[in-house]
Amino acid sequence: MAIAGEQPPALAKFLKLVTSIKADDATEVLTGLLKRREITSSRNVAKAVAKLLLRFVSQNRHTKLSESQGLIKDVRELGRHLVAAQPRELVIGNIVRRVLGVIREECHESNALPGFADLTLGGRLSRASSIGEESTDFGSNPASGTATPHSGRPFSRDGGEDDIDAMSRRKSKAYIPPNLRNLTRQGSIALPNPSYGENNLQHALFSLLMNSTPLPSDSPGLKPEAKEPFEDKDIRGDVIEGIRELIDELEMVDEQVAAHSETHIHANEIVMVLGSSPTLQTFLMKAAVKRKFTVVMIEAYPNDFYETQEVLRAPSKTTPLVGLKNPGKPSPANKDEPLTSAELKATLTSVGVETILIPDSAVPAVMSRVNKVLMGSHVILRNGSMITTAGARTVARCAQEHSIPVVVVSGVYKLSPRYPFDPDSMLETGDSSTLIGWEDGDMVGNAEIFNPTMDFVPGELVDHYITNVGGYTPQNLYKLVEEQYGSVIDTLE
Amino acid sequence: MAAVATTLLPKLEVPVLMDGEAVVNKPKPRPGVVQLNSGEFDIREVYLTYLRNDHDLTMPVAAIKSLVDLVERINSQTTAEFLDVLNQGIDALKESIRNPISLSAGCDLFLRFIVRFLRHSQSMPKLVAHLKQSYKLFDSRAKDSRKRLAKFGSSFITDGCTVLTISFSRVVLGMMMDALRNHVRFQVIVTEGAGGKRLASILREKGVPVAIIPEGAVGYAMHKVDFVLIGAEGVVENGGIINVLGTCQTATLAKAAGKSVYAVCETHKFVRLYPIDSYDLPLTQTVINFSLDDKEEQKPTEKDTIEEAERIGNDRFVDFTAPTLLTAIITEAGVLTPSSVSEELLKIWF
Repeated sequence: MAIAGEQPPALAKFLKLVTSIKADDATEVLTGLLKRREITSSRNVAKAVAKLLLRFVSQNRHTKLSESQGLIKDVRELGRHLVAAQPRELVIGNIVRRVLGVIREECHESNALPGFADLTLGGRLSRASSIGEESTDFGSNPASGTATPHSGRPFSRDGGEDDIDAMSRRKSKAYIPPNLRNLTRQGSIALPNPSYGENNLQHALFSLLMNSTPLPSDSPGLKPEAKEPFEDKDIRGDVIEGIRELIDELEMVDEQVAAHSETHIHANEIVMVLGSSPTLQTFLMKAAVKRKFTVVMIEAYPNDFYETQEVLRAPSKTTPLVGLKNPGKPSPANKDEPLTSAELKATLTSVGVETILIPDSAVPAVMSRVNKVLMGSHVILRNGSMITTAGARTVARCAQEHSIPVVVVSGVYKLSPRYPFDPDSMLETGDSSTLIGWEDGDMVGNAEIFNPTMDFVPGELVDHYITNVGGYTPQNLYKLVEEQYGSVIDTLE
Repeated sequence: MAAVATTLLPKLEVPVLMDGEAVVNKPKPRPGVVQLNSGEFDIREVYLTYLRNDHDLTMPVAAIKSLVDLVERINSQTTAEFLDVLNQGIDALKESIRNPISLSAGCDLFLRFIVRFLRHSQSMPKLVAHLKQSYKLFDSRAKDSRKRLAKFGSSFITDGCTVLTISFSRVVLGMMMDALRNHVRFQVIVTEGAGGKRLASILREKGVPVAIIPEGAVGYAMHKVDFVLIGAEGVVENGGIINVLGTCQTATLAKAAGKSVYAVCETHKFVRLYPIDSYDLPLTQTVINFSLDDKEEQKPTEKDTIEEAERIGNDRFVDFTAPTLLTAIITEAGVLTPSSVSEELLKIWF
């Protein structure tokens, strides 16, 4: 057990631990680490959760296709447990939902038997509708689950009829638009009866008008006894493979985002940068290979200034601290994430990028000289708003005033399907002693000291999101949410 | 322009009538009546009856129900004839109702359904049988979607907030009722016109403090408001909404004050239109009436029909609110950005 007092390299230790102990114990350890904020930063949390889920799935008693509902239920339970441990770390929910998506994906692919697919889909939809307390359909495309990075394969559900509607063949997925879907759901979903033999009727609104064939609402998805040509295959291996891909994605995300850098940073540009996230750093470093540009770094006092300075510092004795994530002063927990060799070697200044460090108060003064503003993010929300380093909203607002584009770089794993009904509840307040030390008795005794570590930036203030799967405007992020999570978005909170 | 048109038209029509051919007269029946082999079918009356009998029925669903009634009466042999009569019915309905925007969403949806169904099954008896079967479900499905929407949207209403709304909207009321069920304490400011008082009395009965303000006080009240909730008769392709007159000004004032504006409506009200502004809507309404005569000015602009308009919903003035003024559209399918509306529509149509 990692104890806060020992200041362990929590993530590294956990990652080592998780492979050797039982999943339940590992869950307890991670819950503790999350509660004590020993693992912070979206990336580290995502990695820890993904590894834990890998362990959990590989030790779960449900392995067969027919038991997939049990597996989904277990994973969902685990997810709720972790989310409850640290409700403000939305990335926990993202990773759990992605893994749930992987499991569902495997079920679908294993179910490509004609006729059976219908049932599965029906189950999937009826699940979304019938268990309102368990999962909420956020109005996305039910078939877009097929678009997750793990599968290039579409549903093979059209059964090869010749007169299939061209569109539905092209899409080769059963889409039911929300305006019909909703009219058909509530318990018994009115999906077209497979006996009609017109699979693609479910393609559209018709299902609204179709009469309902009540599907078994209690056992969504798989009803092996319903069709006999059904092989109850072991899906565990495939699910684990999917989770591994997710973990790989977390490793590669910076590089993938950075691949877009050349198109966004042009020669002789002045770029204002807020934050020290590794994604942002890699992005700038990659751009620096081909482009000559100037970086105006915002100091981000008091929570991020040390790291920000490290980004600029020439590689010397302090370099091992580059890329650290912990807010506030450097602590051993910074060794959480093993630094890559690239990070060890180079900082912006060392590769010859002209860098200017400005205090936060100088942002409005400098803004007019800047070509664009680059930021990292902590979490991106479904409506295009995001949560990121404190001070970001001021910067974004100032940029808007000057009509300067605000570009956010982030891995897609940070995209949360949640809607910010109450943004304030998602923000975190940090240690006020970073601002005023306890030794300053006059202040501590008389003034209230408040140190928010996060800022909510509404979508209107952001012009563009660059993710590892491409660029999106805030208005179109909902499409990406559909692609990443599909229609069934589990409520974990 | 308008003057030219009106003077020309009668002149053209009179000679036609003078020719006295009965055949020419035949396709000019009363508005809203469809000629069938088996006789006449007054689709307008059917539609209005549905709306009068059930105050919870939305216009698109009422339109679908009247079209189902029509379909049951068509006994045609060929698909082409069948579709022809159906189209006649849809046209008759759209033409006979002054503001057909909302109902046309239902008509379009129904027509798309029929076309696809026939393309795949080719069998009209099957279609009619199917429609008969699912006929009763329309109401409950539509109401279910309103319930879902209310559940979804009520998360916006939090303890201690003040909501501004205009006129009477069933979905907005549903959301507030759902919030009440969750024991949320909030207060409401509502404008007095177009059913606002009705909303106020319902909410007050449930113990919600409601302030009724005149339309002119919206700007005054805006700074006391946390966000604005408005219903919608229709959501058009660009994400803008069509709703009772006054929506546009409220949304503009809210935008100026930096308050969020949420449009609330069921997705079956998405309609395939692309209006540029309020004068671009496919309906005639004289809101702006220049006059040199005092007496004419006194004429109440259809105010007497308010009671009826509230119930039937198609006799009131509407305006168009641009998507840029809306923060989000709350539907039973989730909270959508205005820009996602066109995509949802495309999925149905193509």
